[in-house]
Amino acid sequence: MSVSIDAWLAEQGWRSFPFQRQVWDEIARGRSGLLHSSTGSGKTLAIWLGALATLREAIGGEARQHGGKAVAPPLTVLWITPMRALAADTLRALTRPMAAFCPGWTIGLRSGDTSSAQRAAQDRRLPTVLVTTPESLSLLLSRADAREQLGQVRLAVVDEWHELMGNKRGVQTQLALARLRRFRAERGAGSDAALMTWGLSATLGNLDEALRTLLGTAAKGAEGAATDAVLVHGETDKTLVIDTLLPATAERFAWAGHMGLRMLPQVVEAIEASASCLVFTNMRSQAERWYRALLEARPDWAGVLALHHGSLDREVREWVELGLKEGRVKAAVCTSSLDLGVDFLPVDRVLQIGSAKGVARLVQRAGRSGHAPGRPSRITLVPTHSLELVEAAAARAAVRAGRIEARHSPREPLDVLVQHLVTVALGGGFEPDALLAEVRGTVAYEALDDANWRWALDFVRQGGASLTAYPDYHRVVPDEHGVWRVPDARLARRHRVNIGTIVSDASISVQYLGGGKLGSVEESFIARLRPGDAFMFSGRLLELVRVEQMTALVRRATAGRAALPRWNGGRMPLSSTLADAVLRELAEADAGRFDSPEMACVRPLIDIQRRWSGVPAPDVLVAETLKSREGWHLFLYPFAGRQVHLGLAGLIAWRAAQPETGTFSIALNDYGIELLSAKPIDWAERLPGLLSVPPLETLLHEVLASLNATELARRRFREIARIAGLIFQSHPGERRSNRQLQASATLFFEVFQQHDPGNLLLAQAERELLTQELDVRRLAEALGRMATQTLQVHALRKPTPLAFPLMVERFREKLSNESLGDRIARMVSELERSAGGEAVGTAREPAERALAVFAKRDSPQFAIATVQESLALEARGEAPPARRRARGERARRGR
Amino acid sequence: MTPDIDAPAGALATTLAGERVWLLPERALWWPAARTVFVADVHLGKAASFRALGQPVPAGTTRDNLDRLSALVDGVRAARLVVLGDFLHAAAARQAGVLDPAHRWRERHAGLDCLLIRGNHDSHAGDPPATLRFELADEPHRLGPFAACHHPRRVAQAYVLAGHLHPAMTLHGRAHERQRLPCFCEVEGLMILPAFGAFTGTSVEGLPPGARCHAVGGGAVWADPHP
Repeated sequence: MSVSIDAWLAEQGWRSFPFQRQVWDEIARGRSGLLHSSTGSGKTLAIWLGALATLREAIGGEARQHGGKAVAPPLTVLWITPMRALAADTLRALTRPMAAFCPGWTIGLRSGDTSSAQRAAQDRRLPTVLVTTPESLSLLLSRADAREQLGQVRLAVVDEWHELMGNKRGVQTQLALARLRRFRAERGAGSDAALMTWGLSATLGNLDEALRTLLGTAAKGAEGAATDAVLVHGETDKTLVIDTLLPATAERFAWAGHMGLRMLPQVVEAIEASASCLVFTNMRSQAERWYRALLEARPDWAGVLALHHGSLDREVREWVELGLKEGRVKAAVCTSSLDLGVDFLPVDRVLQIGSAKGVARLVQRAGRSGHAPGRPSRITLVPTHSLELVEAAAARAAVRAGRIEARHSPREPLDVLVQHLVTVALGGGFEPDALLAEVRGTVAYEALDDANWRWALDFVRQGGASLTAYPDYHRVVPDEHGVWRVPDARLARRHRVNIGTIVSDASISVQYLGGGKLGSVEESFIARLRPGDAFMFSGRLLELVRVEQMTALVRRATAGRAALPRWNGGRMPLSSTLADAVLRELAEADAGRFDSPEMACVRPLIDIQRRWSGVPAPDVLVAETLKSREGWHLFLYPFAGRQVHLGLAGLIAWRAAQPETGTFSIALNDYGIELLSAKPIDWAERLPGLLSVPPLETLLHEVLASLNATELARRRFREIARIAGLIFQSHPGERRSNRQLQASATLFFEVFQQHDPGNLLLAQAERELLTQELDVRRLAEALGRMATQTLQVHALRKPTPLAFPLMVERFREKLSNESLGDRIARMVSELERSAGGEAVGTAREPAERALAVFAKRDSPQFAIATVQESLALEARGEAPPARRRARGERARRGR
Repeated sequence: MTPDIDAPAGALATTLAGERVWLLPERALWWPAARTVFVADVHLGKAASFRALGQPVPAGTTRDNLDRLSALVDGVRAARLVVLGDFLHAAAARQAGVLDPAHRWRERHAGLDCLLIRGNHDSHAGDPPATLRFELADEPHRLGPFAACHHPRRVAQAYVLAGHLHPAMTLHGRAHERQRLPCFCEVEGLMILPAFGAFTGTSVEGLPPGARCHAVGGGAVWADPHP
């Protein structure tokens, strides 16, 4: 009666792959491991059939008789998935084989979407198999009976591990897995019954590290001879096609701008030619915009063209996903919300609007197409500006050469640790020494020193290291047996509501007057609208009627000017792997070799760059200077990627602000940086001195000093404050409660700085900047490399193709060591002069002039921008000039 | 708005309802003829309320608030202090850690007349204890040509001084420079004061249209540079 794997597969008409058979063997031996492949499927079945066959032997596949009733075995398998949307699909995929192998088991889902009724049923008895998210798993760990309930888990599977391991959600997962291992060990189970952990991952540049991060430091690595853990390569034969939609006339193609609607005709044609395709954009606002533009170009696609992003209501998203699976949807415009998930068999092509930002991401998105046997995966890049043509050529070269990015676990994030301490204190309590050993068993905290551990304990116990700093404050308190617990039920409730490491801005749900839910947008966006204003959301034109209780009530708008919401998601940096590849392509082009169609297309632009200035190359560092009405500009192109540029720009500005004071506006992208000074500065003369390479220690000192002169640490602190439980997230549809507890992260930052400067969360903000955002080691490498390059300084008359995107960049950093009074005095006198008729230039003007030259009014891109005139809030120069002026004036009025 | 010879440092002089007043960089309004100083939104005990509800905010903000109030009152040698609402942050602020220093502050300024116009936080927190010797009034409370209020509003035949909004503005300059600063916010017949309290935050939203905003920063109050 117990079916074998082979028999079951034969019944389905399937056959097994060698990598699947390898995984089945490893699981049968009780081993843990990581299964990875860049494309292809069958990973889920590889783990699941092995798990069913093995665990059936261990605990039986039938229901147990208990007091005359059939009772399913207790919670035995946890299947952790990074996305809620994925959880439902995973549940379906796991259910069918389970019914055949282990008919007596039960399976359930637990995520933020789980209804309270289901939750209550699960609280009475957890299913044998639970599909869940890292956040919901932490919530389970905070139950008073966590030890008893979760101690029976034999197997934990982490899906899409590559998505998790590089961020704090991954750290949360590492801590949870350490807890599960410990529960298992406490039950005195022998090594044969220790927790098995399996990860599923796309291909990464550092798979051994990914395996170690998943399994913890106690596991024997994959490289050694004594292999407890295995890396399994799950490759199937799959052809990958990477091509590019080329603009009709390259010389008139935009130099900057990120919506990319200029390519609309080519995209329409590509969609027409494919059976079903996914159109990836990098931002939700861009997805909204493209969806509207496509519908306007092809009204006959209404009903078969879909929109999918993370802010849409779950029902809307599920409808789209189902349509894709059943082949009813011709094209879905989407964001990273569809990066992961079950396979959409009918999809035969993926379009990527704008840069994919990384080789791994490009390959992953490509893999969303061509799932039918024998069909290739095909991704077509749609450049939004000329330089992305170079990126496209570079990305293909990198894939061909197998250069794929590595991901690393964050190191010792104290905010996540503080949250975990409270979680564990709720989940049965902890004894510090034992918990320290457990926490140090994770890769993220393997080097956690005693002082930081002590501080984290003090922080949850009494607010800080000194008893007097936080009178009357307690969160976690040791009981008479030395077990640390949370005595206050109110605090316990609040902690459970705020578990998690995903930080988003306060959002407000969007709903029709009649009740239909559409999704959610950021509160700050709605705050800018007045009743009667129109905005674009969920692919529709909506009119704001009123806002009540964190809900925006809307109706359909007939026509008119619509604002486009902007979601403050982080901007994905170009990986250094891809940035290096771009520099190599440029060097080839400078040598006169334009081999790929993309490079041939972009040739006129590179010729302009060469004529007006110079072309960067691995051995040439190009700098450009320009005086505009806005001030004194320096452009520099190290091609070291956004992260390094952020630190580099701060460092150079800091050096330039010595010995006299200065204030600099900093713009950066993946290719270069711009420093803009409001006061005169001779960049050409100063530059060589600004690029010196000091010893690492001096450099660290300088970077710290430059940090203090920017707002960066303060911004970083926002996320830390939220995760450490200082501020509460408001949830859509929720009544604003805890009003007396509303305080912004900025306020916390200031009050800590003033009254508790030793607070380690402040130190963490600084350290995260240094290690994650700025990466001082890579900064030193970049400076070192720049020192070996020949420096070419060109004085410009107008911005070059490389300078232009920086000049119109609106996300800017500021570095200043001038006194506040001096700065205010300067701004006030500038404003008074401009009010007196003496015009003060804005950065927009030269940018607009340049835009007018290179993106003519009659071009399709510009035509659409004008028709759909919107508040637009895009990062770069595609908002129509009239609108921009209005915005400038509002800003000048000081509101 | 021309500087006087005996001007308090960094202050901005203006005439409201025929009365000469000073906007002080200490985020207060000084009315020399009546020897009266106005402040709004002190939110005493906000940090303590947070701690009581389980949020770790370090101590020190209460002392900071009271020290600044002392410096303000001593600096202009005021005879009367008017608080335009939200003196105490919440009921949880009525505890020894907040009230003891407040009483010590009151002893230091025993001769000072103190008046509190009840604000929205005060109605939840309750009136300050009688031992603090604050005269209490509901808005609008007439003082000469002025009406002392908490909420910005219009009062017939009176110039309104109010708080509640914690107003702030953003200054813009060349080279994309921007700076957000607390401000005095002035419209016809109404002056909204910046929040006095530490750990209170500011808002640029919800200010009356057409308001003139005088920024506070760098030890001075800056007249709205816009025409």
